[in-house]
Amino acid sequence: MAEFTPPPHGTVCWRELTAQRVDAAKSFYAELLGWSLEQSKMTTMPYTEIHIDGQAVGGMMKIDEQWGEGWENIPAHWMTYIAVDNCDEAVSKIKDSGGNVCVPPFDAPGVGRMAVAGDPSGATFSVIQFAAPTV
Amino acid sequence: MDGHEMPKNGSFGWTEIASGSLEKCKSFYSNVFGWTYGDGSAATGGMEYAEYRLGDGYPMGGMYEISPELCGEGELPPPHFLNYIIVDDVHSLTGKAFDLGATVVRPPMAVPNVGTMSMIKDPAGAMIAFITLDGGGN
Repeated sequence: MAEFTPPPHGTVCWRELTAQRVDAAKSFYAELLGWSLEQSKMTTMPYTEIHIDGQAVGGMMKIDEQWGEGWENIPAHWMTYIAVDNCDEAVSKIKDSGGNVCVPPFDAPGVGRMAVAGDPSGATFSVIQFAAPTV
Repeated sequence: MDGHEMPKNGSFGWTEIASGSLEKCKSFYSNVFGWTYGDGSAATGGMEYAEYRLGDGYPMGGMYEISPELCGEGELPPPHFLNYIIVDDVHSLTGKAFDLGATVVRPPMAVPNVGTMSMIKDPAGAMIAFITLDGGGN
């Protein structure tokens, strides 16, 4: 099991490949960089974690028909996550500071509470408030 | 940057924000996340490159304003985040990425005072960058 310590507020903490062709990416990165890729134990949904030296540093998630109409046309991308102490407060601050909210806060069971936002110029990122570890 | 632990080979070590407005975005990220900024313009020939960090920690990445000077000729990209993976040898790694089915978007190029970087589109179609830091990393 990989170790993971919730990082301080404001830390760039997680990268996530979101793509239709996740399987192609998995073999590519494993071969290229020797990443260890494993199904997450934090969730029952299909979610591949990236482990480097025993540390979970990111993930990969498949875009499929469950994403709704137009799912084929969502550009594949690496999403950047920034840790926050409180997701809802961070989202209020994002709005007050000239950013916008693309996906309002939602709970990811076992993981935490997250949202997708844009900065004042439109660059997109996610914020995540990690759930307290339940061992 | 002395005294800070360098990112490990093969790991995510730098997250770059290509901004549509450096002025607005610097205060935005400070307000929301508490980031402070250092001067990274030695890498960009004097164009502003704001290295962001928490407290006195190692910079987590940099932020610049999209312009023809920094992005090259042609259509400018939309504002976006770009993640960098630290590698020992960006030349051989970029070649291997190509052999494994990636598209090379930007072949290895020297970044003054920093290292050598390349950018690819992986076989899933997502952009990612590689960088070998001057001094060889670890």
